[in-house]
Amino acid sequence: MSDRSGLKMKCVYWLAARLPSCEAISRLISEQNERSISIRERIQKRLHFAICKWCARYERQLQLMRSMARDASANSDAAGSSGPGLSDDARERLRRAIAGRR
Amino acid sequence: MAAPEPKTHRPSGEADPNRWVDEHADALYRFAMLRLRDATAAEEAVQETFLAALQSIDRFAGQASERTWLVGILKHKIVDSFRRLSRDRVPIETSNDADLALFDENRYWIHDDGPRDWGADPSSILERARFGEILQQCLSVLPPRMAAAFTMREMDDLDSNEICKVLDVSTTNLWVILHRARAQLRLCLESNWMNAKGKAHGR
Repeated sequence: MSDRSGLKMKCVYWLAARLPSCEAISRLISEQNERSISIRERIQKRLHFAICKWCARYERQLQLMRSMARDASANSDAAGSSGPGLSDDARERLRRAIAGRR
Repeated sequence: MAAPEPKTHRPSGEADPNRWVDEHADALYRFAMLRLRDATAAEEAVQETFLAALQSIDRFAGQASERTWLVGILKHKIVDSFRRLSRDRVPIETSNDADLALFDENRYWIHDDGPRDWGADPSSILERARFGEILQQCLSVLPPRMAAAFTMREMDDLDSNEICKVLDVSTTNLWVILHRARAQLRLCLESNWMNAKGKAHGR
């Protein structure tokens, strides 16, 4: 039992030493939204995830942030978007600005 | 005696500036607030939108709804507002990079400070709304140009090249800015989202 987990840890360390660090992987996770990443980078990322739950979480959480931001954007086009509207003063300022230009 | 003014039945496809404030101002303002997160800047963008719309009113030939047309103009005014940030040389980074000292000397996550398990993604309407609110709060504490980069890229899916021009930065520079923005946002969301979930469960 302890032999097996010892072997597992050896594998993890062996692999970790040959893969980019968490810092580099976290940068890659962000950049894959801006550029297409190479096959080599993709494999490095996958292997890194196999031994590092933190980076795998990092990717999921960034994806969630992105999809929630897109959602907020899509909803803001709809008529029923929430949030406070303009104050009465601000409305008056806008009316005057429009009237002044007509 | 004067007859009551007949209800103006404007033919669809004709813009009516008299009603813009009542019909569109709030929606446009919310649209702008979501992206600019500053009441003065948002009001300014709405005003600029109405004035620009007045100038090009002839070109509004009813090809779209009045709202769609105005939102289209507003999008440009919002980007103008972001562009002004770069012209005014608002620094991109004001926050201390030490905030992000999450990695050990080997550049691995310091395990106790690494990304925590957020549990299931927000799924109910209420949960998603709460998450959205926290995301907005966290965006508002980012340095303005960093927040602008994230807003343009993630909310409105603008092309990287376009964002680079607006913010006056190189492509690799933009990647770094977005990476930092996401890292800081994630950190802010983590503490606030876990907190909000904890409270929702009565703890």
